[in-house]
Amino acid sequence: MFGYMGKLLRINLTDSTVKVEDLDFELAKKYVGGRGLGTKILFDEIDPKIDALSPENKIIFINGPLSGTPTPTGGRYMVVTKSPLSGTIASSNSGGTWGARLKYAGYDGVIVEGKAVSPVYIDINEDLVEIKDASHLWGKMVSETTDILVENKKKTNVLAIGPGGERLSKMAAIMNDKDRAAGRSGVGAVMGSKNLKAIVVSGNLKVSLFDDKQLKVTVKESNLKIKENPVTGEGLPTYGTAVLVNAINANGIFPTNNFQEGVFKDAEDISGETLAEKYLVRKDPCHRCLIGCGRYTKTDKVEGGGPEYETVWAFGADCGVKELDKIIEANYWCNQLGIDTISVGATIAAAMELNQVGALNDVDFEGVDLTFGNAEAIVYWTKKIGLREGFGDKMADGSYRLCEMYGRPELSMTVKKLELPAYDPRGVQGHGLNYATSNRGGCHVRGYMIAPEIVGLPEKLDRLSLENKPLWTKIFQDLTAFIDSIGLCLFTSFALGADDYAELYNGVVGTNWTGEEILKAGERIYTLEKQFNIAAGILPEEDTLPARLLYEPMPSGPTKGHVHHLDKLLPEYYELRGWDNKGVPTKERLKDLGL
Amino acid sequence: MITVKLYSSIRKYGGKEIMFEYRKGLVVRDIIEELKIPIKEISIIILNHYDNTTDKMIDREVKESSLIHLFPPMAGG
Ligand code: SF4
Repeated sequence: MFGYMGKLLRINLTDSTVKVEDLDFELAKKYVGGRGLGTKILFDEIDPKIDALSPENKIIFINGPLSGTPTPTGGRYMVVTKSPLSGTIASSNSGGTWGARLKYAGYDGVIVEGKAVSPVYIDINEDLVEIKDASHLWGKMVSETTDILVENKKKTNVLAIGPGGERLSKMAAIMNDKDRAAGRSGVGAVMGSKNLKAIVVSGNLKVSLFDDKQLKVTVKESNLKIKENPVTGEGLPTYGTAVLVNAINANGIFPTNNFQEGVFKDAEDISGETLAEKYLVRKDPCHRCLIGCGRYTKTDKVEGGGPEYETVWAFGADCGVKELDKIIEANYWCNQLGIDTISVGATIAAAMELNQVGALNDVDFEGVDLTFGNAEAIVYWTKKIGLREGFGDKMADGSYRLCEMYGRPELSMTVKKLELPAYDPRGVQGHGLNYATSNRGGCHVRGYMIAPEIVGLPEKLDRLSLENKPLWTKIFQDLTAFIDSIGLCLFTSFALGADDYAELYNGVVGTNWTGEEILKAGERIYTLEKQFNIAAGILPEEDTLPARLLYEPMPSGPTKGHVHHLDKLLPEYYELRGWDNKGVPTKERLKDLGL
Repeated sequence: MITVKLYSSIRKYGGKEIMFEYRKGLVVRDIIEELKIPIKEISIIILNHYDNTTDKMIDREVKESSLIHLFPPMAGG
């Protein structure tokens, strides 16, 4: 068995048991690893209808076969569980070093079940696995928790939740290596619901590789492609992901004031260029990453990892805020409290619009008004959300539940209750289709159609045209499902193609897969997630977008007059997937995919 | 006057924004060449709200008050 460590840890917090199980290699090959294998295990072991915050839910931390190998960006892992925010499958990806360290400790994954009676953390040191008391850590911020648990230990990495996860915010993230986040879908609340504060991993084992020599050549070639590619070799390392701010704004799809507009007049102030000029200390790469899109920034108040493009948008344009130092501060508090920057920023933006339309007249704003453009508000209310204090308690379960509570659900810019990221679908038709059909709800990284529709990778498509968009979206979604399952970073796909991934995968695992076969594996995973969602009770009509984006033409800017044409795209997309007109996979396609 | 906006690594050739004198028959390529920006460093051009790759945009005629955005290869997410 190459690439895989061949072992899974199963830890039951209800009865405090630890079991080591052999990995079923056939199953691992079929579902690849990470997102695919995690979904398969979860679906087999839980009833998708259960309450995500009940002890019956399980949470799986799982690597791909390429995590912990010399392949480029080979250090990512997935958190797979049922999402308390959306009720869908949650698979939340993170970088840093924690995932690779879990392999170095000897495990492909950890399955956590049940619920501890009081706060605990899990300590994994190769063969020695213990459940330990965490009452001294409960209530502590993420970085302090991490420092206490790492002590002076070498080759040790920590994953933890902050107060956000402890207090069951449905926007809670899981943080590893202090500021890397499995951010979306509220996975941190699942840890919190189990009284699980952290997982410490130490280890120094090696991942065995099928063909060490050939792999060296393949890795060298891939690294060269990454280095010579202007996006992965220069743009991302120099400016980070926020290099996109100006491009997205210039196309009039930079959602502003809770998606009321598509152009933010102060975009330059919050751009990657400004970030690099004013606040960047250094780049902050994940394990074995040559790209290093991660930022380490400093203002006169805080310093730490981030912010990313999505964060800069969520607290910036979406809240009408142009003060980059305050955005960095809000980002800092999200990392400390362990809450998702996209969902938190977008929920504050939704609250600002609720306030704008007079729906929050009775709310005590504690002197910090939730009005668009108020930079103090994004910092103040981020803290209140993470601590569930005052009106922050009402916001802590995300924009959908907030807007519904105040009688205006249409103001929540969410799909399947997950807050939409930083691109207005009215001006990127394929990307909008991806939002509507993403198995975890409003997410950009299930099928990142911005690559072809805006930045022209691997080729430029007309962003407003509908032609071929269902096919492109499907291919992007399937390829992404594979990349998320092998344990590499999606950003490698700006420089590498399906055949490169096949070669890397073959070199590690010893298979003979072609680009076509990896797309099929991706499709199998995507379809399995869809089946989970159907079994969880997600309705066909939830494959949609907020009404504003379907029926209200963009009011101004380069995308003026456009709406999203989901009705024209969805039938073709379902047909390509072999799903019926309600989005249910047909028997024939399931059989073809071996499901 | 034509407004030319530059981004990220292309800014080294002229800062954030340049005003360019209009003349009849002017195409995007003329402007880029006169500003001494290496064409191969530009990846996406937006001219009056229409975006496409450099090869598709470079011979387009510009108007009296056109707005042009020049982007090097970039991506994020
Ligand atoms: S490209 Fe960025 S997110 Fe991806 S592995 Fe590298 S530093 Fe991490």
